Amino acid sequence: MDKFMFGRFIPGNSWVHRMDPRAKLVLCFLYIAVVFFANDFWTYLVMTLLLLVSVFATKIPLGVFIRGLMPLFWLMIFTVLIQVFFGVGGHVYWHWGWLVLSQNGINSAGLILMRFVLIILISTILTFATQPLEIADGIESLLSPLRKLHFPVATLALMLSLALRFVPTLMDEAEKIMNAQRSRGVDFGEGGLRQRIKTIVPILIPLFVNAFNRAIDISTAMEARGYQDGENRTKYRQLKWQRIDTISFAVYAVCLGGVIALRYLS
Amino acid sequence: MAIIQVQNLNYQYPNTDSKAINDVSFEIQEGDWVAIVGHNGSDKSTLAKLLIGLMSADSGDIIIDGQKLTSESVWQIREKIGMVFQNPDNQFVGATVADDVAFGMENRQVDRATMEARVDEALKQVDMSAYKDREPANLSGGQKQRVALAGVIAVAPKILIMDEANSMLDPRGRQEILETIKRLKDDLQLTVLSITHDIDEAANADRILVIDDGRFVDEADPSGIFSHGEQLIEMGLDVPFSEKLKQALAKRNVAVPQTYFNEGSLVDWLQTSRLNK
Repeated sequence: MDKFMFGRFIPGNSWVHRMDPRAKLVLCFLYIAVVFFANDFWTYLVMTLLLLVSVFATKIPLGVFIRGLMPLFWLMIFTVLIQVFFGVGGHVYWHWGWLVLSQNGINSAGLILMRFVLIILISTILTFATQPLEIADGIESLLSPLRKLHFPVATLALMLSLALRFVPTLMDEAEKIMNAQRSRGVDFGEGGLRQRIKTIVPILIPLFVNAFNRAIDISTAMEARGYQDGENRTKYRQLKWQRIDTISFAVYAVCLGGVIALRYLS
Repeated sequence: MAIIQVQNLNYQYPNTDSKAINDVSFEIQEGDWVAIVGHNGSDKSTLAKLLIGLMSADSGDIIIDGQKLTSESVWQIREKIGMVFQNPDNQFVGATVADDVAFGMENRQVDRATMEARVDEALKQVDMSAYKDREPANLSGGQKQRVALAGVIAVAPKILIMDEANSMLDPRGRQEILETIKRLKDDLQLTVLSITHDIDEAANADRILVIDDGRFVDEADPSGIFSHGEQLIEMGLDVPFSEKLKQALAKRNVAVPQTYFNEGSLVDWLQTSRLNK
């Protein structure tokens, strides 16, 4: 689990950490959308510089971000190879049967790889520098217009924050159950595929049963504390839009607008 | 003035053939600390759930603070009752300590400025101020129970019900919770109802009610209950240390008084009796 950096939160007190989660979410989405507009060296240069500035603003070393890319390394290699050998058109450098190494193939492989890396890194910035809870608050706030369509935003937000709150608790529990089953002779990660799937059952079933019991307990406790429905409540947590959010927005607007302009003017 | 009145309460779980709560009647006076004790499976927790209207009784009345518990009045009655449950993890709703303390206030639509002040105040009362922004995953069981208490204090109820709130804690955690509750009870003029089989918790009570198979079988102050000696184990309680010592002395042919002593008074008696020899 330690090697899995993607989606982890790294505490800190940097520019990005202090930003409003709503701003971070929106900027992250916008950035990903604009990545698909970028199509040549100059546009990608702007996108990369913007990303590096954002990484620098988190005060988290670049090495940590690179490590976050590692689990996806094979997936990247795979897509690049597919693009390289199956791209057609342009100058043909080399071919062997149906395998063709052409200029277009190499170009599109480069594009895909860049997009891949940029999208993963920008989402990593979001998760590294924002507490999961803040992300949940941000999502709730961004979804609030849906209230007009009678979409239960408050209920969804409560579910999200409860789910996030119980992730570590359930992780601990899964660990305990695994060790308890090991002590009774269940061998995890041994044998063939069928054998391995069979060993999952003694973890899953107790975990499910416990989750049900937990849900009953929590709903009892919530009702006892006066929870009636999601609508008629005040909120203790409040998001504040600060100057740094406005500045970040301005920087992103200039860069992303520049990328789109470059694409359509050139 | 009785703050909790229960009259001829009956409750039977569906698909069972005996009553979980069988014709139970009792009264709790304002400002009292009452312990309800019984062995496992004597449906103590069922009683707690009935009192806050999480389940509705088959027959009988529950009157809390002059208000009869009905499906209409249930939310008003819950405003008056704070409850701490058994499992520290499964009642921690908020993502952080401060969020959890605020949860009850959010439900009561308290405005944010008041919430801020009350959260700080409530955490100070239970000595958890330093942990305000911590997440539940890195708190001990006893600390989580103190946060649950802070959540109760924040909404200032008249009655505190503890449903085996100490049963999952280590001895030190138990001691801390008990001392906190003693202090809070006096500060906030609470009526405390603790449902328990922890002997120390029962010893703190003004009155003990013993429940067995859905019936109330005994009611007395702690000294009256603890002088039962051996029968306590059948009731689902441990025997207090002072009683154990008296029994051990009696086995060795030392004449001990029949009345209940707590540890302090037992020490006094031992010293005087030694001097008499």
